[in-house]
Amino acid sequence: MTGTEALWLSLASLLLSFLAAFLLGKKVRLVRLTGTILISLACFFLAWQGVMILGAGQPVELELKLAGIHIPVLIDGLSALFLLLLSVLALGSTLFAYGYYETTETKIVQKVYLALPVFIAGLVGLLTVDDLGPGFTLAWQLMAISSYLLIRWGRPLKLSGRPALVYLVFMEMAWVLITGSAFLAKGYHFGDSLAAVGQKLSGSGPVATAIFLVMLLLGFGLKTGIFPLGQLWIPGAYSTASPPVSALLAGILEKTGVFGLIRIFFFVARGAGAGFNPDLWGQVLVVVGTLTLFVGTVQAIKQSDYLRLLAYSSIGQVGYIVLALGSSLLAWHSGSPLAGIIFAGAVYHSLNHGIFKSLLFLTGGSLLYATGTRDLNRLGGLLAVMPVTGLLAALASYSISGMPASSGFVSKWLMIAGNFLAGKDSLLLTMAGIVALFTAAFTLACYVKFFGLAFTSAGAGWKLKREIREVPGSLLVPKIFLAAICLSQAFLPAVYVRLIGRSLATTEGFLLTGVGAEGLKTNPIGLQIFEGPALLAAVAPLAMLALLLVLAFLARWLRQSAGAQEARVPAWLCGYQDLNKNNVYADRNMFSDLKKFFRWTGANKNVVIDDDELSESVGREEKGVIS
Amino acid sequence: MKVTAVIINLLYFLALAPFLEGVMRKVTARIQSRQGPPLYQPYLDLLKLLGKENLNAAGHPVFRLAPLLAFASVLSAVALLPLAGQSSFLAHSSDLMTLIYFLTLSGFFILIGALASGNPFAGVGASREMMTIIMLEPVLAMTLILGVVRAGSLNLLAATGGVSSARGLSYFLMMAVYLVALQAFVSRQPFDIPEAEVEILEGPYIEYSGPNYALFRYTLNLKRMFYSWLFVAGFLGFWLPGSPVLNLAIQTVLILVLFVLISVVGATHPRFRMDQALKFYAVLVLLSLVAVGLGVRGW
Repeated sequence: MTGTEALWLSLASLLLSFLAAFLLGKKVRLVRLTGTILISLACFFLAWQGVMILGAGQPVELELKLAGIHIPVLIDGLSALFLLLLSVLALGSTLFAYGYYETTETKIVQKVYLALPVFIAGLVGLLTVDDLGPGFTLAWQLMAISSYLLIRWGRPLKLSGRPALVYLVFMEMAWVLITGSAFLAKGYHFGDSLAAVGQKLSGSGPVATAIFLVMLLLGFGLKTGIFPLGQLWIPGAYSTASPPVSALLAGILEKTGVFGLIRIFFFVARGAGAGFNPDLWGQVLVVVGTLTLFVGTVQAIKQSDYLRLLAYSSIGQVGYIVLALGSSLLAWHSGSPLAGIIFAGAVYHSLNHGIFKSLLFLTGGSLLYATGTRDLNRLGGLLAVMPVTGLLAALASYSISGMPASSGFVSKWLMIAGNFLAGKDSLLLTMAGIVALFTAAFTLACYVKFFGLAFTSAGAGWKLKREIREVPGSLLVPKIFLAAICLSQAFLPAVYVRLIGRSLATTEGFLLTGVGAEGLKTNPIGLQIFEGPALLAAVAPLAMLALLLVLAFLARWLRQSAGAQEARVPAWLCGYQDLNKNNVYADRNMFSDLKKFFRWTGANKNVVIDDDELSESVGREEKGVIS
Repeated sequence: MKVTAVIINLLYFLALAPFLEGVMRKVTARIQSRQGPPLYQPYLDLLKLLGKENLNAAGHPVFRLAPLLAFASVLSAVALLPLAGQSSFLAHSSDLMTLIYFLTLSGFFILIGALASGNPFAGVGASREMMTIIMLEPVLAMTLILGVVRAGSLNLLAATGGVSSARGLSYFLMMAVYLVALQAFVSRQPFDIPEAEVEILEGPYIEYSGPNYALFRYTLNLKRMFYSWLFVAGFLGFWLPGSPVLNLAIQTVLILVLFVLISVVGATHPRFRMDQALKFYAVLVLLSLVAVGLGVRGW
């Protein structure tokens, strides 16, 4: 049996980090330094724990006794995988925070370093405790209250008070729903393990089971951000917290909601037996997921505040995961071997989205650090002054848009290809797949806007008073770290699919056991889906990249074939004007007809307020746009 | 042998795409009672542009990379095609999602190149181009998905074959929608809104000149040919005789016919405004949704 020493060491480091921040008080440089070192250490131990569990192929189960209360703890393959993700993201954010808080006022920094370790400890708890009672409550409250404070301290109180409070209220509502749901199981004892809850559920009848699942869907859905619950708090919270914290919120906090949904629908529900109707719940998840991904992404397109844009787009991306979970349930119910493939896609996308969305929030943080504005209307042409940040932003934007040879492509391929193949006789699945494909173009539009108008184009040089420089190395290294992982996710799909397979094999009580993913074959360059001897679908990021590069060299040869020279000229505006701050193409004009067309999807208010100009609003709402 | 098949794909498209533009210009000219340039004029235009100077308004590497990658992406899509009813060598590592995304990718690079130029006209063009991609790509995707529903496979040969494997209500509805959408796919009037030369001066391409512009022109020609090819291979694929050479000859003739049709429509219709076009596209999207729905139900 594998030990849990690493987990305890990790929690001990977090506790030390909290104490250090408390004791060192106003010596803010030292607080940042010790905090960074101790939290990084904790991340290291956490990753170690995850690797040990996956390496040994054995879940760890134990029971904690705290003042007479029993808390069941279970670290299986799935927890280990999410713990790995948490350790990577927490490390990236912590390292970024070190440089980011250098210029922040002392009072805030000290408080942030008090809350950050508690927040991470809460997340660790959520991924490891195995009940819906005392253990869950402890972990959830640590997570909710610390992140509430972090959000509150992210901006001047006048701006942050409301979104932070809204966040806390919804988190507490989710807590009530989740802990309350378990009481529907007949003979439930506060503190029963999840497996026990599942078993007790089987004796409590279909109605109780249905209400139980509805409450949990709402509870974890609030956290994950399914439509319309996500819209209530996510945009406010993610854009208010300071970017390294938002990176954790979007990267892993949201994913613990996905983790919860998986635990409920693919583990606990299995125990419920006849009371659980996989067909119905699969359909519910598909419909909810499709709505979430479509509405979230369309709303993202309307934002000029790039942090809000990233927040709405997080809602959209989570929609893909929920959709895939639903279609996996439906495929399983119809006995299709594709269930395992779609499920693997959902987990893969959780990992991918964790990484590239964190990278995007850190990019957002770098933009905020370097320019002081969160308004895309005031940016433009930053690639020339911030080349490294720009390049990393391009990678993240490319990946989240799911363009060929990116990590997003591989995971979306697993989910959508699987969905189409499994659902060729199902109207619902086919339509959901089409909406997912349709929405991919919206995602692309969001990030063309984000990258195109911040880093290419022109404008920041005229519209901002300060001189813009590339962010210091301490803000670049964590981004490069995440970018490297993002690239590995794109080009080593076989490795990640095996990792996910291993984590599921190390997990007991999994609904899809037996269907596995025998139709999915891995090869060094990619993945293939077979049905018998027939190849149904294939993806190979390396081959795609090679093809693209070879043809790009052909194009380059063609361009040089007549020995053409290049000359630098000013932009041509019909000869009447030079390009200046009055005629540059600003963000609010982008896609204006489309925004009008999709007005009914909501989130049309597009006013950006920067921290240093509380009174006046810079972004004007859809006034005098050029289409 | 297998790699040569990919090269044949590329050569076929590269050789024929400018000629089709020649056809389009000739037909348009005849409708407007003009003589029109010779059919080989687009080849001359490309050669001429390759010999000119590259003007760079941005100074970004992005501005320089965009035309190369736009061209490469659309050619990558072409390399995957099961031309003349023969599965591509690359079919083992690609499927129709790869194809759809490569096409989107070429649009993406056009947009990024346009935004990189910093010119507000290019910005307007890029914004319109992206809106067009969003609203039109689903029609292309759904045509192929109709094939997927029938064939139960995402393999390109199976899926394009699947489109016309059963010719029921869904087939005819999708064919009608695709035919209307084709005019927009090839961005001819009434749907040449992103370029709209008399209004926003070729939009995304305004700052591009010389060899860079030649690459964009070529990209556009290849894309036009691709969409026409897909119509022919998808909807009319069922009566191909089987021999690859004969298949290819028939496909070529059909593509030519299609281009004459596109030119006639283009020469006789004024341009839509963007908001009008969006509503038009939305109807097309809904109709193709209905078509796929009918396909799933087996009609």
